[in-house]
Amino acid sequence: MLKIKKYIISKSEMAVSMEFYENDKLKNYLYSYKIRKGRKWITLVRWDNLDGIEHIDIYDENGNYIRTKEFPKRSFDHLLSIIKTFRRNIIAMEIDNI
Amino acid sequence: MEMKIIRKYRKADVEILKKSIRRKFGRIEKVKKLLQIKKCSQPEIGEAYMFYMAIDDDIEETVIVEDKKVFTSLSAKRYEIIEFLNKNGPASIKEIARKTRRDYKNVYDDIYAMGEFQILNVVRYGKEKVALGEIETIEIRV
Repeated sequence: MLKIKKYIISKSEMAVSMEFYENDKLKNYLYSYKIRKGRKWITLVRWDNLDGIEHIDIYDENGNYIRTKEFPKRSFDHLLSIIKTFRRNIIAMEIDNI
Repeated sequence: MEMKIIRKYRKADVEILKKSIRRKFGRIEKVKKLLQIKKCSQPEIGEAYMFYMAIDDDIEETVIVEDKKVFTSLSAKRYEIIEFLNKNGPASIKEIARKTRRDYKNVYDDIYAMGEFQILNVVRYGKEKVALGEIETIEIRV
C-alpha cells in the first residue's frame, strides 16, 4: 500500500510523505519539501531510502542537484517540524547535520 | 485552523496515473534504470518509482492544508465538480465542462484553484488535464 501525505504550508510550499508498505511493513519512504515556481513544484530537500541507503538529497531553488549525504530515518512529523521552522531557508542551513 | 482531505484512488484513477507516468518516464524497467543512472539528480523519477511499486496496490492520500486561503478555493459550483468526480471517476476538464453543461474556462479556473491547494489531483494525460481520485473526507479542524 502506498500512503501519501501532503502538508500544504502555503500556496507555494508543501511537504510530501510517500510511504510504501509491503505486508504492513514500511519498505520504502520518500519525504520531500517542495516550493512552487510558476506552475511547477521544485524539490528543495528530500529524504529517502530508495537505493537501500537512508540519505538526504539537497537541491537549489531551481531544482538543480547539490549534494547527497547519509541521513538516518526520522519520522515525517519530525522532519515536518524542521521544515516548518526553516521553510525556504532550509537549503542555507546545514540540514544534513541536524 | 486547517483543512484535511482524504482521497482514495480507484482502479480507473490508478490506470490514468499509470499511463500518465508511463508517458512521462517510460515503463517501470526504464524508471528503474533511470533511478540507477541519475541517482538523486531528478527527484521526479523517485516519485514515479514509488507510484509504480504501488500500481497494483491501494493508494491513499491525505492532504492537510494549513493556509487559510484554502477556504476561498471552495464554492457550491466547485463542490459540484468534486461530486461529479466522485460519482463518475476521473475526467478531463473538457469532459467535466461538457457533462456539467458549464463553460470550459470556468471549469478550468475552478479546477486550477482547487488544484493549487491539492484539493484535486490533476495530472497531464496527453494533451488533456485529468482530475483524479475519490474524495472521501473534507474535514475542517479548528
